[in-house]
Amino acid sequence: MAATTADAVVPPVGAPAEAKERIEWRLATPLAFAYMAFFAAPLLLLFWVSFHEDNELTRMGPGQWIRFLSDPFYVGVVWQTILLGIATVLAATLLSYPLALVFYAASPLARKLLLFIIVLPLLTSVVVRTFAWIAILSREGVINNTLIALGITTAPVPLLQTQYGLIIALMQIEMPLMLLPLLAVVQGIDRSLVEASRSLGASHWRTFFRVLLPLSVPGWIAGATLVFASSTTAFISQSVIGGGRLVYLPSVIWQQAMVISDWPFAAVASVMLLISVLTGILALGAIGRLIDPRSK
Amino acid sequence: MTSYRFDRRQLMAGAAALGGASLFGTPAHAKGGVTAAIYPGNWDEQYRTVVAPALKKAYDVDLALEPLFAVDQVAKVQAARGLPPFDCFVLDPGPRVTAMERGLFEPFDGSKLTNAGKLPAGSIDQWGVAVNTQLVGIVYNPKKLPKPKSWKDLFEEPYVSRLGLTGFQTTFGTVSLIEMAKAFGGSETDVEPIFETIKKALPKVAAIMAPAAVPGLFQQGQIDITYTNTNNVASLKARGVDIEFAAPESGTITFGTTLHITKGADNKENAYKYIDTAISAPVQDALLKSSAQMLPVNKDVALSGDLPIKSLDELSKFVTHDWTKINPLRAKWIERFNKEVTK
Amino acid sequence: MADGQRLEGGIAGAPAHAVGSTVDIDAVTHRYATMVAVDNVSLMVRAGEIMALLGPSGCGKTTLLRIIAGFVRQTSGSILINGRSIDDRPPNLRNIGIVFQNYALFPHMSVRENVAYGLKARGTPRSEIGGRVDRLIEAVHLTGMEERLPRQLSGGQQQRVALARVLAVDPSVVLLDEPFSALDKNLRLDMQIEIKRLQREFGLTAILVTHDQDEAMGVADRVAVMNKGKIEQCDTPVEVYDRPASLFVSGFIGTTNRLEGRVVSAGPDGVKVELDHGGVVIGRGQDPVAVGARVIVSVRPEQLVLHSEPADGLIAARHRLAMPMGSQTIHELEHGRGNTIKVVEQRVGAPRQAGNAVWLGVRPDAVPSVFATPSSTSSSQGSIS
Repeated sequence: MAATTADAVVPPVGAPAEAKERIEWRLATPLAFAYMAFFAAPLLLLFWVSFHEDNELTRMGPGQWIRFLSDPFYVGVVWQTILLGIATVLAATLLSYPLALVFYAASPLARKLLLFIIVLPLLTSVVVRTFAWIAILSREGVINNTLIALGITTAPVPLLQTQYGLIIALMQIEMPLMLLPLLAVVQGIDRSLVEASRSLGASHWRTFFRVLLPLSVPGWIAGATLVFASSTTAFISQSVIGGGRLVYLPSVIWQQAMVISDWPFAAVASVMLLISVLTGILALGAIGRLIDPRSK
Repeated sequence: MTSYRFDRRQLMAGAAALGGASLFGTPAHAKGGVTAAIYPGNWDEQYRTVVAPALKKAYDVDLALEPLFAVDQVAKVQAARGLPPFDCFVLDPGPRVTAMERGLFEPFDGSKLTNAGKLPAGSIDQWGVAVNTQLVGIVYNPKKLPKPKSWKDLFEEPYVSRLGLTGFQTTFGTVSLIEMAKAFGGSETDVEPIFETIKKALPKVAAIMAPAAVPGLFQQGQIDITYTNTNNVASLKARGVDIEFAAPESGTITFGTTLHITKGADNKENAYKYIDTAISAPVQDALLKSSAQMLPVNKDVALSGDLPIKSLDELSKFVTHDWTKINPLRAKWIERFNKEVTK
Repeated sequence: MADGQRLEGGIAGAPAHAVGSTVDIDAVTHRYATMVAVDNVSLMVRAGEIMALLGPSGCGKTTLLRIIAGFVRQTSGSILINGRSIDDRPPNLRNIGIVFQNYALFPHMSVRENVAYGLKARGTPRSEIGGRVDRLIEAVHLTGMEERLPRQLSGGQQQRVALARVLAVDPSVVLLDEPFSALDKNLRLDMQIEIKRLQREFGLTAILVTHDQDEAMGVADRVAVMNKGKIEQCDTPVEVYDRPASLFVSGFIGTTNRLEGRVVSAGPDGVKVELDHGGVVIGRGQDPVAVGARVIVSVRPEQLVLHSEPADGLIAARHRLAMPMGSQTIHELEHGRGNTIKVVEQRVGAPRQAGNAVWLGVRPDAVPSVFATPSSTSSSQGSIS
């Protein structure tokens, strides 16, 4: 009990791992080869394909890239995809933090229960959850029926096939990805830090913004990264809930590759999606370093 | 979207494709096998339960099915460069033309089929044979809307505000949109009028859908009218959804699903046996009576049940399309549809 | 709260006018679902003194601390600071500083930011914060380390930051929650001295919660010994040590020998007890005891003297073990069957031989405590503590 060391003050995340022992790198070779064969090689192939003028991959050239980048429609699709990721991250953040605070204040038993409830949706497939959202968001769905029954509206509010509906659904679908890393970090924040802040005269809000928020940032960054990457690439949810009027990169890739069989152009769209996701992840990392000086 | 189950048959098929079938050996009692690509879902399920046993019984040939969408089949065979992963294609008109143009088929000899005479004229050509008929038209909810008469009706009240549109990415979507274009003064190669019509109707329509979402949105009442093939109607009806097929005045659209032998196939003779079995009357009858309600091509099969067609002879009056003309334009149409409907 | 100007003078080492606030714990009770953690506790902490709340874990001292800090709302009773109730004030409006067991420094803030935290939270003007923080960092001897993060500091340095952070907000009362337990032994004494120095310099009222009696005796002006949610005794360390008010206190504070016996006479000079295994002891009756009553005599090891010859009233014992500990030797003796007695004596020359019969007497100036034998086994905290 009295063996608390100074290290305990620093949450485990972000603490430097000081593994002095020499790590046997050869253990990683099977994985390295698997990555080379199944990840790196196809990725390079994708780049290579994107620099072809024709579908038979005989003529090299930047034509597909010029076609993609000079078309305001496709540039718009890239932006819309990134904006969808940002909106989903924001929505998931707004709902995750209150829950994280509840979790922080909860007893160990209640924490276990909460975690179970949070993980539960992950046991159903994304496809099932996506189709369930049709039943919730549609004209005759749960939300509209409730609104009409309560007399809030007389005609159904359009939710399905709208950006808001899509963000709401993605937020729920991706929420566990935000919560799990966030809660893992929040769990490690010493409760006495909050009490210290309070006793020093800080309000609940100041305590949240100056202590809990910055200390939970590593978890948020991890969660936001997952949510961003996952929501920008959520082909099924985007096409089923978003519908044909909301076009995002995954559906462009699918159409070009599978329906039109224009592989070079599909490759360009794929690389653009990759770049969008990486940009988002790098931006999130930069935000993390701004907020949390420990990561410097 | 496809769930890949690696069972013994698929492993065998994979090994066969690598030229390693001898490693596993061929069962002594069977006269070899054949690997056929098949659409995932209904087709895969019905061909496993109906066609495979029939083929085994009639010719002692083992059927291995590889679930692949049409475009995947074309892509895979092209990528395999002479060592095809399967012996038979199953294709819709669009991909068929693509595969034909890319030289992925063996020339087809219709005289090798014992059931050739049972098919309507024109069902067999030098590249393959029709195995299933698809009918496309308007579908609507009879409890919510009166029966629509023409493609034009879709863009009038009360239909337009309940209309769900899909684009050119599916065969049924493409042919339906072409028929609508015709109704507004266009033609098979000129779909300009339908783009103009859709543009005007956009603020009113209920949904622009991904094809995969059609059944869900219809079931949930998000839309009450759209266009699709009769197979979709049958499976939704089976789930108790209020849905009816309505033949437009200009005619129900039909296109055939065709079987082809892959260029360089290992088991050409068995492939003919497989195709012959698939078009035989008992098999076609069983497929028709299944929950997928797959329309036959064999004239000996009596049409029954709730179908917008009473006899296969009526097919000659239905609307068909020339995919050699459509294919070169389709990529542009898909792209244009995206751009015009996007908010 | 009403003494905001105190710090300016105090920092410069002019504690003359610095006077802390009084803390009045008035009949405070706290019940958790099934148990009473704090049982009708009343305690008055004087301005400018260090009061130690001493007791074993689970005695209710931490709950009491959290009630004073405002993290736990008591079931009944009241906490008053300078005579005014603070029961309805949230922790951030109580002006009570806390030094936590693990220091609870904000790991993402530098030393300077940690010390400035409370000032910023209270809306102190920016212009004042800088100088004040500098002076406090100087007061705890951490000048030059302002920009370091807590993890770059040693345990003792972290402790100093925690103190500076609390002192910066000029609290009415400082609560110290087991502040030395995370420090190693050598550092512990230094920090005890440091805290005492700062407390005097700043004229603080402080409440020290600890389970370590040495810590409490060394640092506190008065010690409140808690057991099972109640305060058993509250007095100066010397008084608590020499005149334990209860059997529990006698066992918990320091080391003691418990010898059972029967009262043979009781008068103003003390209670005379005949021990069960021989020997007579005269002590002070802490409980009202009648002649003939069964009692327990608590005698501290240093109150006993060893004799090599028997004499009237001496306690017969057998020498078992001698442990020379520097200037002192601790003897373990057996008295009767299985009763162990410890004796501490100043070592002169070589230690005594073990195994011999010895006789024990109470030092002439020492007064053992005599307690009535508990009717039940309720307070049988081991015969040797």
